[in-house]
Amino acid sequence: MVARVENKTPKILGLTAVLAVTLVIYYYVFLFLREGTANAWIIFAVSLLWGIGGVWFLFVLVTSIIDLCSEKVRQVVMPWAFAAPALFLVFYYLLLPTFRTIYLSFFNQDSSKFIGFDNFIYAFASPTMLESFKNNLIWIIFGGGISVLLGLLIAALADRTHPKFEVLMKTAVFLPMAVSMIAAAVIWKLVYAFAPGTEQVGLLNAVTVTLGGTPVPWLLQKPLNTYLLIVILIWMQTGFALVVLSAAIKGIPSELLEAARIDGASELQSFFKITIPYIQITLISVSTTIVIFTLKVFDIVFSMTGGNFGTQVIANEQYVQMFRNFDYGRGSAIAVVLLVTVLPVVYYNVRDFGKNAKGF
Amino acid sequence: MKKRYVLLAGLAALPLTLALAQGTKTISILGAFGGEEAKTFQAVINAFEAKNPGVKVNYASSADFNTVLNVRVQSGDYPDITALPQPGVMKDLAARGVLAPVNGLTLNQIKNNYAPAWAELGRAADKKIYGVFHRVNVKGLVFYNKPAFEAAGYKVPKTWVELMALTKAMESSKASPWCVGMESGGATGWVATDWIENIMLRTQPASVYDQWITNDVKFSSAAVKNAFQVVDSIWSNPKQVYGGRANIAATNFIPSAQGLFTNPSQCWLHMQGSFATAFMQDSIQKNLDSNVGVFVLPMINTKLPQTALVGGDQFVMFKGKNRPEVEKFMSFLATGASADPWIKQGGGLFPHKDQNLSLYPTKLEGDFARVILSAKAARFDASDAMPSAVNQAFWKGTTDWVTGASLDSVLSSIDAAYRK
Amino acid sequence: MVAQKMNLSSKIIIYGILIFLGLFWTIPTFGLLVTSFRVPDDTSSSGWWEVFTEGKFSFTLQNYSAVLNPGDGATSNTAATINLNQAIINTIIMAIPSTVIPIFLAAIAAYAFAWMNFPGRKFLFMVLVALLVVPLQMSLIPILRDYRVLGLNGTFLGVWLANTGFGLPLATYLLYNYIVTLPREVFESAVVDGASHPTIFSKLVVPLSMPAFASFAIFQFLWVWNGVLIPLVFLGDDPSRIVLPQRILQMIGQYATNWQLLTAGAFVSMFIPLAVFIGFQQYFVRGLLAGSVKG
Repeated sequence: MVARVENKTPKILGLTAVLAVTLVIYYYVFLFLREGTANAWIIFAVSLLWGIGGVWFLFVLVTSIIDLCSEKVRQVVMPWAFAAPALFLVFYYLLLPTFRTIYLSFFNQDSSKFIGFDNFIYAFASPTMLESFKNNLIWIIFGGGISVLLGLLIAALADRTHPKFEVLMKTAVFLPMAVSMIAAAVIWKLVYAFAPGTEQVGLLNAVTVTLGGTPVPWLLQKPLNTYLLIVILIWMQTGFALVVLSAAIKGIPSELLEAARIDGASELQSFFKITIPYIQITLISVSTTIVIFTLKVFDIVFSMTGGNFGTQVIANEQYVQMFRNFDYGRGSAIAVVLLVTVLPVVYYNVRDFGKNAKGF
Repeated sequence: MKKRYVLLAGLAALPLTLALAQGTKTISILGAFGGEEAKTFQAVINAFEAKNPGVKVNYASSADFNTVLNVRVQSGDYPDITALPQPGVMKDLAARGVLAPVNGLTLNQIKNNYAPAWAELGRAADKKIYGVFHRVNVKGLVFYNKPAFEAAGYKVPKTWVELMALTKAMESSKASPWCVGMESGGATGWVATDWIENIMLRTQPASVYDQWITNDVKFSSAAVKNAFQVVDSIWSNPKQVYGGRANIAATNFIPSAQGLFTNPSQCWLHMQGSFATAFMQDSIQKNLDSNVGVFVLPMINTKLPQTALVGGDQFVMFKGKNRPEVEKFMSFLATGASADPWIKQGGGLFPHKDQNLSLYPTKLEGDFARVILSAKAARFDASDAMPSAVNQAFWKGTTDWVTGASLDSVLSSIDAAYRK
Repeated sequence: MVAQKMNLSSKIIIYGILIFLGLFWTIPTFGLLVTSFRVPDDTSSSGWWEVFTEGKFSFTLQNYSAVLNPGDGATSNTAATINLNQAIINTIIMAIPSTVIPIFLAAIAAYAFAWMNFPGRKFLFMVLVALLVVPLQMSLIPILRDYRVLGLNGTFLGVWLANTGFGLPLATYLLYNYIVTLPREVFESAVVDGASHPTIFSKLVVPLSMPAFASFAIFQFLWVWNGVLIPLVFLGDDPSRIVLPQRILQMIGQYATNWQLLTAGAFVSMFIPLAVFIGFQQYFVRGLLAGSVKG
């Protein structure tokens, strides 16, 4: 035992040396890529090789070194080798900026003067923000709600169809996930486009005219326009809910459903009594993800109406204040409001943390 | 492990030494215009590079210019030069102390080669001149479909009264008098603010216009309210505007310019800046002179001198970036030699006195350029000269107003955007 | 298994509902596809469906050759030609490491939170999940400021790390939900056998979690591939590093009403994500979070 411990020290030193050399190499690879003057394909290959393998190789080195240390050191240090990289990055990229945002929300436009709660008065009482609060509520209830429900419905129904049809169906609904917001704006402008007269480039108005109606400038119709924008959101993110929920439904042991059938349960009964409880955790995490996405979404509004015509939402107002009006105070205050709004959802999720899992 | 190190170190060292050996000076420029315009600007850069061997100029356009500029300025990551479409932003940046004023040589060129109004537009609150105007445009032009207009026997109106009589006469034709479209994504509203500004300059002295920009004349004042009402008298009349008022906010500004030339045409007249020719159908653009007619929107208060409404990009240097080659490029921009390559390619007007007017590819552009050179008085697009937050509120306010909000509430909400 | 036992009428209802929804989902994209093959005069004057209702279709590939053409050589400014090829390569360089790094880091962190003991475990996890809600535009300026000092701005490493930082809360949250529900007995026997945490992670957790990794990878890949703001700020405007969404955005500014060019560009930008989804389709059969149902 003692002999083995003594043998390990040179090994640790050796590996530490390798680690140091690796870091130096990484630095040179970084310089090489930043220079960017080499052949495009070499850059391509080196980038991907380094980007994919670099972090993994560091992790292997570091954990190997820790593994060689004494039991006591290992117990204390090893968890941090696993958790610290993620924690460090998240704290740096998100937590520190959040503190800065809270701080800036008490200052004026160019952060040169402390103005107390003025920005929060704007964030809670201005007509634009009041409109945004109302719209955001509609976005969460209809956008978030329908995305999850439709995802669940399609997942459950498609489970009963021919496997080939199911794949086709899932691909169709998933398709918009592959579309960037910018392309989606192009697509939906082709749907909602309006022109006076009978010749329509927009699909919805073409249908309206064919059915004998007069063309409508859809995106100007309050309050309908908010719902029309929500349709785009549903179209874009139901694929997420569907794919995740479908996987969960497929994880339900068939014996369970079989047993329910033998007991004489109808399809609907077994859906609510077995399927739903079984996939409950998945359902919660899907809903959480989608609610947070819905609150943060601003590009649909930004690119379709620019927040005009009564369609403003909090995230877009925040973007406009910050990047169009150059008003850091208000932009920050609105971001803080957005943050506080979502905290209950987050709390609901982490409440049960560690209840059924104890570490080793 | 060692092998990999040697290999990679070798790979890394090669380009490094190459880059050090070259030693070219580069100038980086960030701007809002891209695509064809960036391509044309490259001709200007080529002319500069030909005269200054060893200097490389990189122009990059950003898809979301305002955001990128804002983020880069906030984080201290300046380009050398940026081209600003809005004097309000220039003043804002100068007040933050991130810009460098032009040097003596450039200053002299600006004084000799530009009308005084352009020098003033490049001046910030500290009285120093920061901006060099390059490509500019003139607003308040009324475009028409020349062959159709002449075939119908219409005459170009000389006065506001004649214009109103003409539009009244047009009401009974198959097309509407006006095409107006103000949808422009996140920038929706600028078409409407251009209309208001043009009416302001045609009903009020330029001094009132200036006070309006600084909010010494309020939006809720009678002068501004009247301008809204003049616009309203046209826009709210379903016989006067193609598709009626509802169509204005729903139509993108580009197709609204094309309405003159659709078959059958939607309208007779379209008011827009000189840049509107670029929005027209390709077939029209191929032969602008024979297809497109244009006149300046007449004065309403005929006692006032004609004042042109202009817009344009001004180039500014960032603090600490005024290296000799950057200064050189700025002073180059103030000469006609920097305008000529662009003039030849079309699509740009220039305020330089020593520009070569004969180079404009169409008579139309030459005429626009003369309007700019001859205008004794010129005023910059007011909304672009207002603080950014007011500009936004003005855009949004006009949009709300067009879609049904009451005028008084809109005007007071724009006034509220001036935060003292 | 269930399908055989259904009666015909409920089968018809199910297929009916699904086909209706499937049409709703695909028609807008289909319109995009059709438009991208049309000539300019048609797209400005008529809707894409008139290809079918009125026969207004002169099929052309010129829009695709226009957006993929590496330029005619006469123009020196690469920013001005539509050439999307460089943008495609750049987007791949950006997207793949921006997918792999966060998943790897999230996986080891999720494992630590689920199965390792260390002080502050619960608190740190809560903070991490709470950061899900931070709008990333709040972070852009301070980070760019640091990047400038570190020389990271305009580099792919900078974008990888930024995408990793912004993607980690969701990745950790979702992968934790999966890893925590792996059966405890597996770990217990491994610990008794004297396996270390790195061994348990690579020999047990990774193989068991592969479907979850793969399906989260696809989502992260799509988000990164289609993201605008992060590359816009951290990669800069240099044409040699520009990515696809940014190019499409520039095209919208330049060719606002040239629907046929925009649609062709949009379709080019969708092609790789779609290929990835279809290629990884099998992983969705037992995909993300499938393990969490055992809770």
